[in-house]
Amino acid sequence: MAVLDVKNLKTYFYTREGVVKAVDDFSFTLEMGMTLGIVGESGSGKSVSVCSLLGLIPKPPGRIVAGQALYRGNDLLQMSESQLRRVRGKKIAMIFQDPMTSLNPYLRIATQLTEVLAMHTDMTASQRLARGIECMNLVGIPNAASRIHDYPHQFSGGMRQRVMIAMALITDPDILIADEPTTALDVTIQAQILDLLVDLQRKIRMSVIIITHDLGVIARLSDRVLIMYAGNKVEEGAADDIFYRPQHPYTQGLLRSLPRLDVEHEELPSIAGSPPDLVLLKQGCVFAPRCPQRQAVCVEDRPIPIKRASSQHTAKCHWSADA
Amino acid sequence: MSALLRVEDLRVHFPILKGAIFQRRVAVLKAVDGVSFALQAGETLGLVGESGCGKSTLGRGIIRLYQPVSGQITIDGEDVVAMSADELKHKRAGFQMIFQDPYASLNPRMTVFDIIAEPLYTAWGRRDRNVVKRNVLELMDSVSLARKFIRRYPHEFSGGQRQRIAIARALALKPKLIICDEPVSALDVSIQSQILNLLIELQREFNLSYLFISHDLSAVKHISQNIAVMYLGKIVELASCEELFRAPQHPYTQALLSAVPYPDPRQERQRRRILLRDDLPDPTCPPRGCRFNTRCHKVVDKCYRDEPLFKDVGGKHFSACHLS
Repeated sequence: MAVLDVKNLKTYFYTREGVVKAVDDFSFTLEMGMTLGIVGESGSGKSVSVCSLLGLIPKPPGRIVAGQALYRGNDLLQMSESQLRRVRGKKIAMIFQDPMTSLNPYLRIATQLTEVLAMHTDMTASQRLARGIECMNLVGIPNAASRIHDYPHQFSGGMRQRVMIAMALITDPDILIADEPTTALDVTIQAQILDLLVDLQRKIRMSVIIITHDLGVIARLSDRVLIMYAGNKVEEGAADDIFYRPQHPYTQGLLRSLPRLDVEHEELPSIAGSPPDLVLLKQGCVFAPRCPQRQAVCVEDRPIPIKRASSQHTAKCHWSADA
Repeated sequence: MSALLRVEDLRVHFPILKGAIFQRRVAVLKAVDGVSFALQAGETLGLVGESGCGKSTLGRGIIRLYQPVSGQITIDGEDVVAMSADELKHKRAGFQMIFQDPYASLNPRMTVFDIIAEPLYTAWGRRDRNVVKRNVLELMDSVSLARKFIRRYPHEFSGGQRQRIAIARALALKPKLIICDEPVSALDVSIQSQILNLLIELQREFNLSYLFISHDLSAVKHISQNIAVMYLGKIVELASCEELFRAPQHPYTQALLSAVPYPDPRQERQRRRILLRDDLPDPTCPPRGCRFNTRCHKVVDKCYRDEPLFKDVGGKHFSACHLS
């Protein structure tokens, strides 16, 4: 069953320089208990698209121009702020990249961790505290009962990210959105947090959306993968399809250009050029200026997603069907 | 072949002070604490480690952006530690640096010309502008930056292009050694490989030596001949690139390698990982005995008593572990 069904989302920013089409074509279906990975470079619209769903876009200059986001049959994009507030943080929780700046340094962990319970439930203070300690145990923070009274600076980076995860899980959400959850962490700490996320999903049945530029993290966690480029979803499919049978030239180029520990390679074939300026997007395929397989039609027409018959695998490319 | 850069028992310490008027030293942060290695001409030594392990301090200590407490640094046969400030100013032409963040390392008020020409003016004094300009244009060619951009300002460029400007500036005085401090970490994935390829090309063309500092093992593996792994101010393992990845000796290296997720779902589902406990201990009071003993998965009694020696375990593969 789909918990979240997003269709044709468009989020534009109206700036002095012109209209920035940060998200121009974005759709996905999130099944219960599934992990969806969203991959893209900076400015590809991966964070903006997810923030749009939760009403976290500054308006103005931002505006959701079109689209639908059905959460259990209700359109998130049509909800009033007060309706949205009942969903956000309670049913759909989010963790951010930088655990150093997402916690208030002046408040004890207990206060910040259980604040959401005070908002969304009628638990008493002692019940909230007990639930906070329970969640801190769940994410593997030792001595939770005493550490819950500490301040953020008394925690290391990895432990702070665990606190953030505990905070997101405290209301038993259906969906957890993790925006670059391990980017600010060292590799050995990243491995701990990734393990925790895998473990948690086994324990609690929730759906996870993970946003990152790290294809290794995606390979580790995701069931389905969605590739973003310049505000467009260029490819979507099961993780194995994306990694072993990529259809879009951007996905293919990206996978080839990664230096890897598990493969020996002499040369790194890189993608020429750099991502486009979203104000100056022309007609035609967004990847056309950098695409090694570009034809006349790519410059003229924006491709529509082409489905591969074999599976739930789509690529937005004129040539992917016969590739 | 003699080494271009030789570092012996280098120590860079920072006093931790307390008090506003009567400052007293409450502790010493031993950021780099007895590091030795050699780098051959035309080669790359990768220096990996997690944040706070002292890898950047080591890089800066080598070109004396920080003053070492003790130890020897020889670049191209010359003793860097003994140089006077005046001498250093001249000799720094031979060893340059590329920083991580090309948004912060370029002055936003200077044009591409000003930025790349600055080291030339500093070294040569006032010179014929046309000679300088010719040099700048050649440098822009060698980093594949279009000549028409010469009058532009840093904000007009993307991250990758800015890093090209920073590289051109580092090349301006024809150095033999470049310290690259996380040169691709701030860049987008599709741009990282472009800059890595450029660095490799330039190395072949100008016979450059790189000290390539990074936390990204995949990038380091791609560019380096030898790799040193640092932990809490010391090198714990040093080996050729193939050797280090084929048979890592130090438990920390083993954990580090196993922590990197591969972009390959099938392998990821089957891989066995070594998970390290906890975080880095406080570097102002590192653990007694082996510095890694608080997190090590193979720890034995001896590790709490004696500090392991950094020794050759065969074929120029060095490791500082009692068990290897």
